[in-house]
Amino acid sequence: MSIKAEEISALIKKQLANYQDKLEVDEVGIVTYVGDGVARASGLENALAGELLEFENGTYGMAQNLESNDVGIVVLGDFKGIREGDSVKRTGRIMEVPVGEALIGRVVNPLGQPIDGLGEVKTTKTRPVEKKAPGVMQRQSVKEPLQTGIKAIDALVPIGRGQRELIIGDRKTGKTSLAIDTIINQKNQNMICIYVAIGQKESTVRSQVETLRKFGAMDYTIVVSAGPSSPAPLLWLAPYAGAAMGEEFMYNGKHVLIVYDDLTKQADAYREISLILRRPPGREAYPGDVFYLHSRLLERAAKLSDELGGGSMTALPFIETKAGDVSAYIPTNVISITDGQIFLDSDNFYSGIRPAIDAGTSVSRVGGAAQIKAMKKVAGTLRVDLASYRELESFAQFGSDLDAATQAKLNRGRRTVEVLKQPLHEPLAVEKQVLILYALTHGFIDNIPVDDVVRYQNEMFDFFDNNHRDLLDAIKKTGKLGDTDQLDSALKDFAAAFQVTAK
Amino acid sequence: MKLSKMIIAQRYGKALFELAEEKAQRQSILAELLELKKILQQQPELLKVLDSKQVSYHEKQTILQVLVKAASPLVANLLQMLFDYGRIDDLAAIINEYVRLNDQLEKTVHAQVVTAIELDEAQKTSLMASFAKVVGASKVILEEKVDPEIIGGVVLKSNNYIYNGSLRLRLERIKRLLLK
Repeated sequence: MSIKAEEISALIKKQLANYQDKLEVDEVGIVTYVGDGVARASGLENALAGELLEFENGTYGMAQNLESNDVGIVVLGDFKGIREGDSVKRTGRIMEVPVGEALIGRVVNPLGQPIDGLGEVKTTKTRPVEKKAPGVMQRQSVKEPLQTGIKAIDALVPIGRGQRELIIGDRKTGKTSLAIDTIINQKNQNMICIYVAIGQKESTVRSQVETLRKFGAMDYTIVVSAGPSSPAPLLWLAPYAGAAMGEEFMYNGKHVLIVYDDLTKQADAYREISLILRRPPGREAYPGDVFYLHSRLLERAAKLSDELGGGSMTALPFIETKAGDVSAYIPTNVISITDGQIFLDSDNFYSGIRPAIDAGTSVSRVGGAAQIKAMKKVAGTLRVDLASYRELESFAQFGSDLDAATQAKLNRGRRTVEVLKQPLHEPLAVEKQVLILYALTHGFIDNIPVDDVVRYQNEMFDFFDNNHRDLLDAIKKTGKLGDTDQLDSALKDFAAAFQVTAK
Repeated sequence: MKLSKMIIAQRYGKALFELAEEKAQRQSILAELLELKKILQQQPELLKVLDSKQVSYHEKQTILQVLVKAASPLVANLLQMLFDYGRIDDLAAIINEYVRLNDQLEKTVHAQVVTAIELDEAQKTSLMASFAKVVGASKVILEEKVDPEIIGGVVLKSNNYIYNGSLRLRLERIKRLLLK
């Protein structure tokens, strides 16, 4: 028997000695309206905006609208147990979530409570959900690269640590896969990843978590999930909770990658709350401060100055467009907030170009500074090449009489598109990306049939892994191309051995 | 847009209160209004009938006259005016507002006190005196309620605040402490 009466009673005695008999004074209000995740309460005259309130059944709420006669409260949790006439009391605290190392590898809801069935999350620290973003002097410019492991992104729209890069596209264009692959590629990169699923089907989240676990990515990842069946306030809160968890690491000098999947659903949840709180609707029925909703969230992504430890938080917000319409309200808002966007095109996706990145409309405003030198060198002309290929491609469909220069451009373009294709969950190390792009831009692939490009690439990687490991290591270590003659001769050796598939 | 009941009550209540103060009839009108409130509580249909569209104007007037005749000129005018303006439905809220303004002036505080057993006179007076000191009031009006659920101690509810000194809460707190 493990229970010992003396020990336990001594323990209780000790605890009771610290117990102070205090009169509890609470300021309370009376609930006058409940519905759809929102409650109103009269009284609570001294409540603060954003203060945490507690209902009679133990559910928490957040004071949102302070009006002359009552307070509008968003209910964080089950609102079905709250009745008209119930009392709601002030707690004097603002909304906080648990943060810290203990959360890593866990799946939690926006309140920081575990939903993965692995027991209690043992954290000691908490952080306010809404926090002011670092100011001008607390930041420095983005300078380290964040390797996504996806050729098309690392070459064309490079992302730096501390950047905010929007991923935008229609439904089913591979947005989530892009994020999952990026997270998988952060292994051994000194990164902590946070995946915030907002309104994603629980089954989808489950399979994402399984994928991450399979690739060993859960060892450095936190998943925050607010499913479609959670009340709207939780969906609205989820990204802020995720950001608070990320900030804890960032302010401790670590690097964080946070994915908000997706902010369209958060804006919808916020619209729902706002309309029920009777805030005036504006364009597309969103409230007036829907821009601020996203700007204050994304502003929290930062590269901190060296005095503050030099940590960073990179944000990858997602926006889902309808029929490729990037000029709708929420997409334009978020495009203007972020430091660039990766546009995923459904036409590309269905014609087999995956990841379906549209090189023409995707940009990165700060990432170029963070690219490694070798990559900058090989990817420099890639964007222009692709653009002129696209232009010629539509033109070339009309006639077959083309001069040699045009033929060469088309040839190169077709192979570029082929090289930038990448299968799911196979992120590529940066040195290999540099290698294949070097081979491409220096014409080594021009004579290979388009159908053989993928095989050529894979066999080339094997060849270099076996015979020229030193060249790859040099690129990885120095970030520079190094001796191009050696590289050329190695590529020639390989090309000589490569057998084109017989027709 | 229709004004909210709260705003109407504030405006009419304040007007009546200031007028009563001017004519030095504050106390007598208070008594009259409280009497009126009692009638409203006893006859919940009264206001409904007076506000109804189905009852003819004359019938409503006849009912109203019973009240008006018995009242002092100020209260009679109030009733007649509320009826004419179609605001008779807000009468109870206006009375409450008047009482609230009066309490504010006299520094009177209403409190609901919940105990497990009934309080005796001495306990009540000492409770009133000490509570008056806490909230800075000169007079405390207690409304008593007995609730064995709280086991022991006192719970005071007043003006959006709950002062909870019940044995039940203390036991719960010990339970939370021990379970932690």
